Amino acid sequence: MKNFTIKVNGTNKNIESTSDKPLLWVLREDLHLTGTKYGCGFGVCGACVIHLNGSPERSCQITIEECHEKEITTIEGLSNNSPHYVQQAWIEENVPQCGYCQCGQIMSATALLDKSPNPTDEEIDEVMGDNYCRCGTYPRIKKAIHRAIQFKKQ
Amino acid sequence: MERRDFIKLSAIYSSGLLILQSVPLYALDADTDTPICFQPHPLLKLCDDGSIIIYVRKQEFGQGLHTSLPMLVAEELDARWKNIRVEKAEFDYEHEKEYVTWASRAIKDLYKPMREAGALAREMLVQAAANKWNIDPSMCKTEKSKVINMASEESIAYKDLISDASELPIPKTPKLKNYKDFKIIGKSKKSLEIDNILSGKTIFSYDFSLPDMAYALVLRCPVHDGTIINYNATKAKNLEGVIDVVEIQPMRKANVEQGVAVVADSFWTAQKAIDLIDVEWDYGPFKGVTSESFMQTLKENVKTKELFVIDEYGNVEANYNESNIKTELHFEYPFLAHAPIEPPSCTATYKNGKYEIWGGYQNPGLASNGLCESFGIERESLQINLLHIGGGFGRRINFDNAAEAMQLAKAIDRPIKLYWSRTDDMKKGAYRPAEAVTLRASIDNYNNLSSWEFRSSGSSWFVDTFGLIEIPNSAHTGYGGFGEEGNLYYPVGHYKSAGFHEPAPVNTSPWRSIGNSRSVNSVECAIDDLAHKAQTDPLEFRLNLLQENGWKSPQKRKDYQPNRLVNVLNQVAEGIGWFKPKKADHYYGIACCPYLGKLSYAAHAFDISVSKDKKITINRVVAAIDCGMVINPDGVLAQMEGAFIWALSAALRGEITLKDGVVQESTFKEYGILRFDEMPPLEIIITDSKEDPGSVGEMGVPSVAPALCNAIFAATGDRITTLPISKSGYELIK
Ligand code: FES
Ligand code: FES
Repeated sequence: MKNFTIKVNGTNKNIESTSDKPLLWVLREDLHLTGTKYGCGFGVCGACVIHLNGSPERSCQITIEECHEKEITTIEGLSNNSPHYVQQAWIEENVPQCGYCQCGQIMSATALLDKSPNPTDEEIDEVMGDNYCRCGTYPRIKKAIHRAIQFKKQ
Repeated sequence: MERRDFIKLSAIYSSGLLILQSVPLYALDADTDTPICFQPHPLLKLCDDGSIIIYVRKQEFGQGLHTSLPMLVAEELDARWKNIRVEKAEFDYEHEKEYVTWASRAIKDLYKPMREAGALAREMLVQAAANKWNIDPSMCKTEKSKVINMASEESIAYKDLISDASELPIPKTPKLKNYKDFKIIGKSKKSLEIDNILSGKTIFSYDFSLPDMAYALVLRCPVHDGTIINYNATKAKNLEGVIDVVEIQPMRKANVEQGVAVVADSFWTAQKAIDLIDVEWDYGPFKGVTSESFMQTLKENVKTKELFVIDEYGNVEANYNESNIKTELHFEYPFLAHAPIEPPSCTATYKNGKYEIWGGYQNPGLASNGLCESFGIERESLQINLLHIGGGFGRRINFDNAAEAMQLAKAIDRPIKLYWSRTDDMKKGAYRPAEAVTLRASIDNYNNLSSWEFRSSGSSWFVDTFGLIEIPNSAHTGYGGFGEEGNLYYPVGHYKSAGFHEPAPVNTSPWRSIGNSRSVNSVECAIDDLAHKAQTDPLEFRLNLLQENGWKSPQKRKDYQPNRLVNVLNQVAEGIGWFKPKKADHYYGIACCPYLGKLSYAAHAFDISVSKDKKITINRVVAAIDCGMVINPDGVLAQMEGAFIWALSAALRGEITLKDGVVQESTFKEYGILRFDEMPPLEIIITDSKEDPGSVGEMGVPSVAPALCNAIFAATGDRITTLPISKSGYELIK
């Protein structure tokens, strides 16, 4: 076991862990931030996406050691009081069904829109194509992203 | 504020499914800010802070029931929608049947009882207000959580009436609204749980935790029904963070196979430890099975075995032989996984001989039966707590995860969280049964069906999974076509359906739309083939068959309305532009199905282009559903979208492949689930109907595959009878 420090949603956390433990399990089991979901553990589904120093990462694919002294934002820390504009767009389009994949979808979409506020359909496809939804909310996610782009412009 | 006890009422009120016992009114301690609440019905609570809480017994896994069922209550209550909150009803054995969430029947079953709950409370509130004003209740109206005095136009909010209302007797037969007066039903509402879901606050089974909880994963035999000869877990036990290694005992009634569990301080530690265990397996009877060999067995069964006759009338053989226009098609359907994004999991404790579990189960009563029998306990010794489910689709009928967690909680004497990993679920999940079908059918000179013979072999999860008695004509098996669904949904005077049960080399379970995901494909492709052979347009051919005067009893179920099937067919045909000139290289396919008790009807039409090297472009799809009265239109749209993507994934490339008895797919990727960037343009038409509400969740599945296959036939002349279509070399391109 080693000691690591990470800053999660603005708060410093000391974590005692083996160095190889994926950030996903630190968030979920040690910090009880269960909005970051496990879907596959292989980097395939996108349910576990978080922002690491502002960039989207699959938390099942990065170790706690790689996160040492870095800043992490999870869905719980995406916005403080009112919903983030991307969450608001998701609400407008009534996107979720079971909802399990949606935190990962939103974390991917927010990272995309942070980087590229006016993405082309190809860019959206490329990013969101790596987030699976078994309930089939894809058409609504597409609409919600377009709505979020409009929100941002206003 | 003084403490007020609202324990007064003892009326017994019974309505449909909801058999209510005496209802104590809620007595909450009012010393604090806790609201005082009035609970005139077990599923409804009105509080003096204005909130109206509706308890739902049905499980939510994306069907939107936690919104549509409260809409039914709110409608009759004339509640202001923003006052409504939804909560899961705690599981109680007394009402276990009401917790069963399968077969797309929640709305159909609860349409009246949920409304009655709202109506009953409304009548009490009106009476309370009328008493205050000293007027007759007929002089009052209600809207937006208020009672209004029609003469004086004064109004009193519900929250200010709960104390008085709680003194009144519960009406026995509350009056329901005429649908013309509906204000909430039929208007789209957003999910009541959306804020929690989108901010990560909703607690799914995988997310639930208890203090001092340990985490476990199980190593199971890669082959179904394999057993352990011996194992060595020394290395695993020595890994830092491992608490114990425990053998899992097989439990037939809970669908649990022998295995080795690692209990550790984390999922991650448990996963690493699992890899360090050496097991010598006896792979058992299914060791050598491949997908091909099992399909071969099914095909042999159809050809050579004496089949169980499910239904037979007329003389199929003679009529088939006499017909000039006939078809014989051999269908092959693979095993399919549900692959919900949330894998199974369960949290369990064991204290003083009693178990408590937390998880997601579509049928908690069935789960408790299997668990109590397996553990030799009474129901009093098992408390089930139900959590939000990350995708159901039939996968959460199984409760093997609960049995495993309970075994470990007892062995370790500590709260246990038992996880299934993604790979566990892909490789050792419970699958839709595979099936082989031979379908022979013929038509007469007027394009009426003159014979129909459906012979098939597959497996039944009733038998295979829980050792339950076989229901041979069940729509679950799929063989025989329609079983409890009634006969073929096209009229035919000479009919036979027969099947043969073959134990599956994997666990099986219901899968969104059950046997209809296969049967409807067989029927709709055969109909298309007959139309082609009769040189008739496939839509016209269907419409001709479905004419009212084509039916003779006992072929048609009383509640089946073929005209509604005709309507959805016409809607998708018009939507896709069936009779308009087609663009070059555009080809159309159509298919339809009635469903479950025939209260819902759906159809799909595809517009596709296919290149010489078998690359398919889906230009457009139009879907139509007539599910009777629509409660939440946006919810119906969402289900039709989701069902389409579900069914298209399966039709294009869904397949669980067995090699040496072992499932080859391990994540969503190899299983070929449709991705965001592959979603073709889809339009959905919903019929605005005043018929009783029918099924929705599964309705959008069955006619997708045959509509696509029929479009491929139109484009290429290739009659696809083996699913997924990727097996015939076709591939979707964007
Ligand atoms: S859990 Fe990390 S990508 Fe699926
Ligand atoms: S909403 Fe259920 S998996 Fe996406």
